[in-house]
Amino acid sequence: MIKQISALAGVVISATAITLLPLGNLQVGTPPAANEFQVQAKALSLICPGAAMNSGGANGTSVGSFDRIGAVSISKNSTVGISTTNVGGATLLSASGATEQGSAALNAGQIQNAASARLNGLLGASCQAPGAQHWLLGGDTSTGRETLLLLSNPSSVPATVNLEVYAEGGRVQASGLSGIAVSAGETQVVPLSSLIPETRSFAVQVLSRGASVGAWLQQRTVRGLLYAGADFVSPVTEINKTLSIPGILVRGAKDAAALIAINDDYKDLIPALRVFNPSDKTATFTAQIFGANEKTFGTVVRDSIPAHSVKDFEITGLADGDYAAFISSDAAIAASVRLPRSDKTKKPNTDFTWLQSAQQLGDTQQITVPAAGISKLALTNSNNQPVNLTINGVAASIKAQGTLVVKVSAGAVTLKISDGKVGGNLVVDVSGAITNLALVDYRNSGSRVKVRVR
Amino acid sequence: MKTFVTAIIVSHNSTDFLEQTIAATKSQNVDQLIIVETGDAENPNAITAPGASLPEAIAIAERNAAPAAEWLWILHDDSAPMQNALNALLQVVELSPSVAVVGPKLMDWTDRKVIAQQGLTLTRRGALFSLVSDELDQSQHDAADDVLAVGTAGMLVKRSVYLALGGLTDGIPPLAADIDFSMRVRLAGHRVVVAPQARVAHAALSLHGKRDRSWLRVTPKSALRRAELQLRLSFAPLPSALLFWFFLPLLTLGRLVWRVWTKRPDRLIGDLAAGAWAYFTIAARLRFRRKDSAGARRAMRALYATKQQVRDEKRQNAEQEEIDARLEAHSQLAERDQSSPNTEQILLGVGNTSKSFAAAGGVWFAILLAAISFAWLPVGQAISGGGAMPLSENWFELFKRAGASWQELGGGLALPADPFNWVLLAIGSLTFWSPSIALIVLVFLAKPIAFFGAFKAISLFTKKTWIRNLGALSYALWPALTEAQTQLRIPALIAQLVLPLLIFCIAKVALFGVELSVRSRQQIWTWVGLSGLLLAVEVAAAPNTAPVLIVAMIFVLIARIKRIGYLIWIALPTAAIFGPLFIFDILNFPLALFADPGVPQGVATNRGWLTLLGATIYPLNFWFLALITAVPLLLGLLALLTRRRAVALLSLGLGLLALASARLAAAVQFPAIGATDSSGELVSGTPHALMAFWALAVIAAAAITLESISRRRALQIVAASLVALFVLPAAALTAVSQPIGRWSEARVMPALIAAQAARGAEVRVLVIDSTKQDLTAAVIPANGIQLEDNSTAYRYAISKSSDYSAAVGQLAADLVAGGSEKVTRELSAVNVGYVLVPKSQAVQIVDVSSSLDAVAELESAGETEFGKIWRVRNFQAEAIQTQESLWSITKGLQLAILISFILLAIPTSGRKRAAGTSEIFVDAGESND
Repeated sequence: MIKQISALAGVVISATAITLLPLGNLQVGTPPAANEFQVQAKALSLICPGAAMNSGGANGTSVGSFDRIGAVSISKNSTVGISTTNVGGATLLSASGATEQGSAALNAGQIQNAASARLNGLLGASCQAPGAQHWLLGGDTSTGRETLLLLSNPSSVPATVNLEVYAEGGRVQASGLSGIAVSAGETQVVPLSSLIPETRSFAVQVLSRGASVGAWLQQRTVRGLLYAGADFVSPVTEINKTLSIPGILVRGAKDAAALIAINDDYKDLIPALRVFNPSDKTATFTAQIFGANEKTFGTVVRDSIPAHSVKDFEITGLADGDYAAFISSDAAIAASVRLPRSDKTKKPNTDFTWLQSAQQLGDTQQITVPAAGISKLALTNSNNQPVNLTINGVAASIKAQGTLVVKVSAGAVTLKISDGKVGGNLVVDVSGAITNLALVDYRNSGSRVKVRVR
Repeated sequence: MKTFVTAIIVSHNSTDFLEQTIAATKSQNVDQLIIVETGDAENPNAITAPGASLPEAIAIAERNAAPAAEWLWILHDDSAPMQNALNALLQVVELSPSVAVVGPKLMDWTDRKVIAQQGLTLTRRGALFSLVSDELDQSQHDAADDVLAVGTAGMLVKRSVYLALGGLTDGIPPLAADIDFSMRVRLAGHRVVVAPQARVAHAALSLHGKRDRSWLRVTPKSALRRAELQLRLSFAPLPSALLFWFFLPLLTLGRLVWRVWTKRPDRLIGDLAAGAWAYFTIAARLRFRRKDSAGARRAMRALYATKQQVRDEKRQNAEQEEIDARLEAHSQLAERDQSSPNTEQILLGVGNTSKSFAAAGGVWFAILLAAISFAWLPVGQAISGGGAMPLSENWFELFKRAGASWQELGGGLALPADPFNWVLLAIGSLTFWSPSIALIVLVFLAKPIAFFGAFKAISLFTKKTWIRNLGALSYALWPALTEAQTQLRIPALIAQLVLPLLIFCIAKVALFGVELSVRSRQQIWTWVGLSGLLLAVEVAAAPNTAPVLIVAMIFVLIARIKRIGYLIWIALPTAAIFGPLFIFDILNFPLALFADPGVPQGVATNRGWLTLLGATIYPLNFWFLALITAVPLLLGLLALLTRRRAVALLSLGLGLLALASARLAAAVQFPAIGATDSSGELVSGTPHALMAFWALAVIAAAAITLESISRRRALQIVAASLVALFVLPAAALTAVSQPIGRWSEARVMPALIAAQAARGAEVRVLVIDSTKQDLTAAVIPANGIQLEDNSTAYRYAISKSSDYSAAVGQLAADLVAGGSEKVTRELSAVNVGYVLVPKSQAVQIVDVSSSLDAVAELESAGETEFGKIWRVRNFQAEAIQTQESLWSITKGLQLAILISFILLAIPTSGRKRAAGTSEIFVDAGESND
């Protein structure tokens, strides 16, 4: 019997040992490496949304009717010649022959100070590189708010676009969000207000198949009978665990408070932080709103966002001044700030703009400041070290977790960031109306492409 | 007047036999005795003629014979005349003056009541034929007289005739010399007869291979064939002889095939060597042509063996063959326990008492298993996804890839193909009009096939039918098999199906198992053939099983060392198909030999408990998996407490080795990128076949436990537990599982490109895929990448950059960047006529597509089910593609060996298979008709 028991024990022990054996990985051979190849970069193209879109025709009652209102002013700069193409009212700018890519090769933005019976406000957007995927974080389809999605296809082949909309309760299921055909060289308008009505906060993912498209949200606000505010929402350029949003230039805070006190419909005059959590788990974030100088005191917003949902957080208690938001989260999130502008002496008395979290940029960057109004370049340094830079040759420094706001004149502004990275938004104020142009460094496949040959 | 007889004894290094022969000859009242020693043995009474052939030795002796000598009595050193042999011979010649040559009845040296030979002749096909052999002498052949020929052992020849004919011819094959001489005697008008009353004991040392090589100069088997060929060329009419020579290579090839078919691989080398010898020494052969008229030939043909004689010999040999094989089997099993069959049972073939697969209801279980596999019911021509891809639609393409030494991928590389391609060829050949169909049917029928194989394997451990069925069900439903079937791991699945059959076949060769079924040597060769093929399939499909199988084979060899003559051949097909890849891998990455063939498909985790329980991912959750496999594992362990614990320990020991190997296999990472793009750069080894080995070991041990339970009630409880806790849940798991692939056509490229390929256009396709980090580019043939195009050697070869890869990389980079002025030249330099961007959910793909849309040299050809394609404007093929031949020397050799084993593996039925003439000339199984 001892033999039997010994054999049994031997097998059990061996099986257990084999089972518990900690094994690493033994790599046998190497896969083919991706080698870099020198290429002539494709001409950098940026597309601007074009003039603001009016829905409903002249009297606003014609369903499915969209027409452009007024004209835009495009401020652009390039090291080479720029060609323009009309894409269903949008404008495609192409800088062919540029050896280097990025904002220094081509940058452009558009603003439009719309003043019409059906749409008022300063609309602006940085012109964007067409892409297959965009995240748009902004907009509102609650009562008195209208949001349109503009899709422009500058290519020579048709594109099919599918939308994924996320709101406070998670992903929104609605008809009309998928299989949106965008003809080659055309712009298609998708009335989100009809598809997802009464949704105060949401994020839209645009997924294009067939061709790259440009995508924007256009939001307009009507308070009673007064069309009071409009802007474009440009795509998110950063989804990350740490984000910064420069350019929260609060003006007319007292006016806003007064307006809110009179009418609840003015409650959106309080700046708000919109956070979208695209991950599969709940994200907990902390947004610190820092002032640009010792005289401005910020605030802190700390909360959590369920997976695949969007939420707005009012940033209360901000006095007039220049601020920036620094956000850290335990999961990659996207964030934007709705920045209202109030001046009860004017009519319309309100406007707003959606500031997106800034792309972190280094080296040399360029932005072209529009000729109209007052433009202020707001920069943030999310790092723990100060960043030194020059703005049109003038040296400046941004402290760690700090912001810098400088007034800039019309024309090209060149940033040379010697160390670290900064994010930037250009905030434009035209007669109390506000918009912003994000500082974005668009690049095609650069002069080097990594290819693995199998 | 007394006839003067000179006895001539030709000796060749056999002093023991010679002494007895001399003594026996002296007692025969011969007038003169001359001994000629042709070897180097010392014999003071002999004329020494070292190196002399038999005809030379006889000629020397004749020259030394007394002038009065009228008759020469030729004896070999191993042919001792028995009493009054010479008198009986002389009596014949006295009665019949026309007789010039008379031969004795040759008796077996050891058993002198058995006739070893009594006259020689030829069959209608020219084979040597002994008229009587291995028959007890009951005077039944004593009426015989005229024969075509007699052997030189004991031949009494008239000296005058001998001299007139120039004696035995030197220079022709030794075994043809006596027949040649006898036939010449007949042509000269004399008679050749046998004298049945004259008996000579003959040891036949030459034919039994007991003489040194210098006597016959070749092996006895080759010497026999040489003799046949020489006689054919000597006595046939000249045109016939020349025609025979012309077709000799083909005839030899056919003969080799026939030898394998009749399970006589031991005769291959002899036949091949003799065929080559006759073909290349034709001038020398024709020097010994004999002038004979048609009438003389007709007369001699009357003395040829009749068909009936040949048939009788065949039957007799077949019977003897069966008896020999069974006795051989029994002699090797003498050490077995009391329960093994005794000699009588073996001879009568009554050792088997168990039910066959069909009688055991196996067919119904197989149908049931097929029914629960309905999710795999083929509804298309092929299946894609997981590890599955379609095979080529053209059988010849499939054949081209098997054993290929040239990979068509990229610019073409001289690399050995995976041995697994032979397996795919074999499977695809079953439905040669659309090879993929056989593959999907195999996937569908995986469980019934596994059940059949496991039924056979478990029959080695138990005679009880219900245990066999239960064990086979357990194997067929083991999670590892279901997982491989679900994930469409084609190589791993095939390896798991083959494994139990391989174990069963090797056990049959080695005479393992609770039952014996030995019918004949031919049947054993059938098992050898099957084992060889199954081992090749197993190792080709799952190379990581090779170490465990080698260890298992060492155990088998140690236990059955006497069967090494059979067992050693089993490895031949594996060695043949792995040879080129083995050399390539040994010179580069030796461990790459264990890389799995087919589509790279690793396992996500390498968790010990999961492996132990037979899975790499949870089918539902850990507890479900643990629950269903707990009962078989527990029963397997309990076998160590039974009487047959040694068998259980060996089984579980090998199983543990497989389990450890499975864990190691999953820990090894191989390059994944090759013919097909991969989700990752590296892929782990696939442990499924090894997990199946472990499962089989556990189930075999569990079968031993079940058989040892004697209490009926306990047995019922245990069996019910096994069914309720394992079989039924595992069957339910199979029924709810879904393959991760999709049914499709066998085409793997868009119709537009496939049509180009079908027209044979020299066009290639650039495939560009994009990930977050970089692009992957490949130039593939226009007919796309099929399952057989996957190559482990290619996965290693492309890690080194080449001019070609640089050109393709630059082209892809330029295209993705939007084109450049060099693109046209770059496209034509690698013959790219189409660009394909595969369908993907990756966002980057749209960017790539947008870039390609902007390239002036490309025009969009639309979106297809395989992705988006662009046609190259003004396509020109500049590169000269290396045309791959269907054949190479290595491939020919591999194919020859595989076909030989296939022929061996096909059972030859009943009496027809075993044929032969006398044991004197031909081993059992030889056919002479």
